[in-house]
Amino acid sequence: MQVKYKIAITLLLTALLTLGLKIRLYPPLVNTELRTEFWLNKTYASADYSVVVGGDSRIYRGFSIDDMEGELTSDLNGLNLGYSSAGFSSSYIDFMANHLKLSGPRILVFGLSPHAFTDESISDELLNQYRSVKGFDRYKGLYLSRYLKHFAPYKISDLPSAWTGDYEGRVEETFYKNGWVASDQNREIDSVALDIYTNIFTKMDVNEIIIDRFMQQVDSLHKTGIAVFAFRPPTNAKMVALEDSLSAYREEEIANRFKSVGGVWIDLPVAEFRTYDGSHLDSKSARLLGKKIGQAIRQTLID
Amino acid sequence: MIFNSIEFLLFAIGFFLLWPVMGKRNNSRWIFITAASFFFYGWWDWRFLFLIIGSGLIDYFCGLAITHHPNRKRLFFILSLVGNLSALAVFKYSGFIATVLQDFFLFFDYEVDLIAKIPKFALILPVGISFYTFQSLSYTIDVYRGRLKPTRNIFHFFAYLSMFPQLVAGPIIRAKDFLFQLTRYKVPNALEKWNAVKMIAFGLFQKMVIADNLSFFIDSSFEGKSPFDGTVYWWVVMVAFSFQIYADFSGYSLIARGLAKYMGYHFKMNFNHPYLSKSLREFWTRWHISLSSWFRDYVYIPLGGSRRGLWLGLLAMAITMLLSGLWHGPKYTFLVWAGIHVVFLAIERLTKWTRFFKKSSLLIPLIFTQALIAWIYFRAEDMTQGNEILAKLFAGLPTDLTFLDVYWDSLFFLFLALGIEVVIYFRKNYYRFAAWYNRSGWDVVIVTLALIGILFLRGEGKQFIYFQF
Repeated sequence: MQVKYKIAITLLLTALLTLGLKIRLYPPLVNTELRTEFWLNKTYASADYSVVVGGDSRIYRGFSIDDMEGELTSDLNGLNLGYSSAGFSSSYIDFMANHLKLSGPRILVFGLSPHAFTDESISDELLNQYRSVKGFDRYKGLYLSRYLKHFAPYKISDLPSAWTGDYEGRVEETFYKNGWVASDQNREIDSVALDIYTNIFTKMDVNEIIIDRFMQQVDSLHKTGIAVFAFRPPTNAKMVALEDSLSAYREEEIANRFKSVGGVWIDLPVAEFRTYDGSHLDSKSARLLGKKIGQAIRQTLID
Repeated sequence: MIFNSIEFLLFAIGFFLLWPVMGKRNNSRWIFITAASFFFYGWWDWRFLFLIIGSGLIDYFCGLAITHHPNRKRLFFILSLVGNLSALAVFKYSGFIATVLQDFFLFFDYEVDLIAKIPKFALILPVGISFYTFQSLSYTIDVYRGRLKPTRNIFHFFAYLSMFPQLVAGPIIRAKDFLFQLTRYKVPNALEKWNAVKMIAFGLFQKMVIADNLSFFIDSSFEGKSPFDGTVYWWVVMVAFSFQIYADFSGYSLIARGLAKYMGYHFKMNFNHPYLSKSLREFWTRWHISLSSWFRDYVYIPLGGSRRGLWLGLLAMAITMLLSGLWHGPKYTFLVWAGIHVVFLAIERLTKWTRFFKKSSLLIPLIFTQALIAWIYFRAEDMTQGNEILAKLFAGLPTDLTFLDVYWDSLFFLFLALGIEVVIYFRKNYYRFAAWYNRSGWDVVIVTLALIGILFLRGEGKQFIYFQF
């Protein structure tokens, strides 16, 4: 083969193979471009919401805003500002409050998982990572990802499923503009999550200082006229037992303190919820959670 | 701007469209390269352009002054050294120097907080500062030694210093190799263009497919986010890291060389399959060659090299290696990384143990293991973590092998990288295999597969590891 034709042949072969594979393969289960767009949309959302819900991955995966809004009057809209491994640092709470509308009902909802009160979580790594995205990277994530998503890569273990279209046993994600990721898996595999949390909570406990600061800030927010709600994000029963025994998280005490600073604590019927991986709610349960929280807000503020 | 980004793709398209127009005449070529390179660098933080410009101006004028005032050439040489090394000291080592002093005072029960007194701007590490400082230094050193005639044209000098393909992560190009190349405009022939495309494709494949896919497994292990532990587990982590850093850095160098080649220039090879080395000494002639040879020519040989006997030779080697460790970063862990290499190199030189294996291929895993042990400290967050991992490698702790399943999406690329090195070993050592490969147009297939891999299997985009140096 003559050297002068090699570049052209390579490009032609690449184009043909790419086209063939794009036609033959089903889209990847996890689209990294969509994911980037999702996080940047959430991080740079306008201050235009009546209800802002915050917490860690149990919130961003496990809380459907649409279903909460369905329980509220039509003028109330919501935003899920949950982030992976988010912790309730003062800057994160300010960040949540800054997304509230300046007029009308102003409501903050906190999903208080044990991990959100640990030293590890309050660095709010993921949130800060996206807050530091600037210039062209931000523009690219917000406006070009919708085109780049067609070139999203595959994970090697997804290739057989991408070939057949059968993604059974894998986590399926649907990204919503209001900050929720509906997540599902055909069968619940909880051992990995339990191992991870055992590992985390043998190294660290819930930090009482973080809880104290959180309560003080909730008190201040409440005094400025913001309605504050909180609940413990529902999870798998084994996970609850693990966290109760290892993390030093005392739900009742936290609930009482939250109420004492003007907040509304929402108790949830844990048995009605189901996780897909031992930690995060599946989409059906996330819808149920959104609905229950919407009902609680309605009963407290509207009815 | 990083090579594996949309913005760089747009930048490169724009650059190579204008290159035939701007590249033909000397002044327009140098101004074009300088302006494009400043734009490329300023994309991160334009404020640090002043540092490159400042550092470059010192060396440009010192280079001219050394030639015009031979009686005072030492003075201008020292001025250049002080200027460059001061910038490095302030922006790269001020935190480390403060920590060392704090530790020293603490030893005498005297507590001081020197880090808090360092101005904030000095704690920001400008991307690629070590690379362009060394490149700039090599210019004045060679002019001082009379091995290079300084350029009178300031744009010629800045085109050499800031040349965007290698500005932030090397290879470190010597002025004596490159200034004369910049005086011509050469349209690459078909073979050179094909080689450039191959280098860029393989470099991107190494970075985006191998290194980026391995990063999740390695980062979660070092950040304590993995639920797995045990001896076998940490060996796999360290093998994976050895290949990640190799693929990451070698990938960058290959892309840089490919871009330069497409402009009609030649950068020397920076990596030559170092993990196929049969001695640690050979490893250092294959790993980050431009830095190793910089230290050899400007530190090791001036210290006497191996000409002054065994023990002084070992001392020169130890000083050179430790400085190389410090070049990588202001942390104790980098010093230990270099220290381990010193120990292994000294043992190799004193005992000549590799001779017993008569160049057998068995030496390859043995030398790789030595490099791997040193990599522990290169990657570790601190000394404590490094010591813990080192202990785990030899403690015989049980490992839950389900990690192979959990991290399969990363580990597949480790096996792929190992497989590629095995094929390269056969190509280098078996003539018939190499001849068959070269005859049959396999390179077209392999480059196509690399491009398909980049499109469909690339990992999560990460910055190149060597940018932090």
